[in-house]
Amino acid sequence: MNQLESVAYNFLGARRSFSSSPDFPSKYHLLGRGVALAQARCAACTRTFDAPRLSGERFEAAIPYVAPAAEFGGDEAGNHFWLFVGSSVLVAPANPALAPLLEKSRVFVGDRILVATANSGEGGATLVIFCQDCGETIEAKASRAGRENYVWDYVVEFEPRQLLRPMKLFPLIGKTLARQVGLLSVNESMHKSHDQEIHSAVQSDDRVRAFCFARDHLLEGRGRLREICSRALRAQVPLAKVKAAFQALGATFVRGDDGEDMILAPDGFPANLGSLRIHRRAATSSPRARDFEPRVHPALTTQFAGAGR
Amino acid sequence: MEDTKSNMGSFLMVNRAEVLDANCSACGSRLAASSGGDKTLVATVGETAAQNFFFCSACGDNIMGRVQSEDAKAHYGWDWAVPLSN
Repeated sequence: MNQLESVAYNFLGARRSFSSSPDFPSKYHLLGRGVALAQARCAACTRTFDAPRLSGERFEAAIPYVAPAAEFGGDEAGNHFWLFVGSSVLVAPANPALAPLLEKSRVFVGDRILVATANSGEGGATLVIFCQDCGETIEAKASRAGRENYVWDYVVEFEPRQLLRPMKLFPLIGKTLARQVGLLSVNESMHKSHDQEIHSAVQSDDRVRAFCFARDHLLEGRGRLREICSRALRAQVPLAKVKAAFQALGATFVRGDDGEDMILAPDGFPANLGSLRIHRRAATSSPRARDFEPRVHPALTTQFAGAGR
Repeated sequence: MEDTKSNMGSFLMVNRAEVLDANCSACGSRLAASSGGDKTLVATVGETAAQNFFFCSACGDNIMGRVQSEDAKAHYGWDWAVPLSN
């Protein structure tokens, strides 16, 4: 059995074990694809992915982000957004098949990997996974149409959260959210509340909503600035935060051929931008601060800022 | 020839999103040697039951240098082959 067949076998075997064993299988999962991996290594360079439990980021709980409007609801694959709460907050789409595990687990988010859905030559589709370095090389070689077969995902690992009862857990989550000073507007009273209030607090957070709004529009590739501003106002998302979200996602603001101001998705979107991490540190002190530098067309800066609140 | 055939491995054709075990249809060498992948020419022959042939970069360049009509060129396309480890 060669490496490729082994990978395919692992995926198929994982599907079976996942459906027949709803409890915590000691395997890695792909967050977006919702399948388990019996063995996780790059199909090109054979590098074994680091165990998320050892080197990944730990999140105490995952909360489904139920959008107030349909346009905030999910990603291009129909996955819904979840909020992962730990020492930082991660907003990422997760496969509905993982919902039972997400709701009762501590989640470790590990390596970012590229998943290729490839024809195996016998009429079947095979999932082939690549590490981030090999994935970026492959993605750079793919045409725009070819990129439809590739998607970025995360390797995750679950740990049962049986020691904490929900009534003890949710105040803990509340405190974590409240520490995101200036990022998440969580009321202090939430410390004494239960999960429903946490849900509504998270869903009403402007930054999270702005991120989902910007991401949703960038999935269409390009959009008219005037229409996007109008829709943001109707959805009561502050334009200044929508602007920041577009910038964080690497969007470009340009003047279209017809004179209309346009927002363009960056090359490779959304494959190269599957999630947004909201850290406690200011963006300028982040190691990825370069990604947050403004890329707004100078002619539009004043106009957009003026439209914000 | 036997040596190169014994080196046959799996490749991911990036833009076709297809995994195949094949060598160059002309010289028999590996389609891609570098881990980052190499340019590969794909020739599609036949209309109803189309069959694909894959050529390494050198043979592909040679073939494309000999194709003269636009109709014939429509049967050829470049892709990238990325070797998958065994």
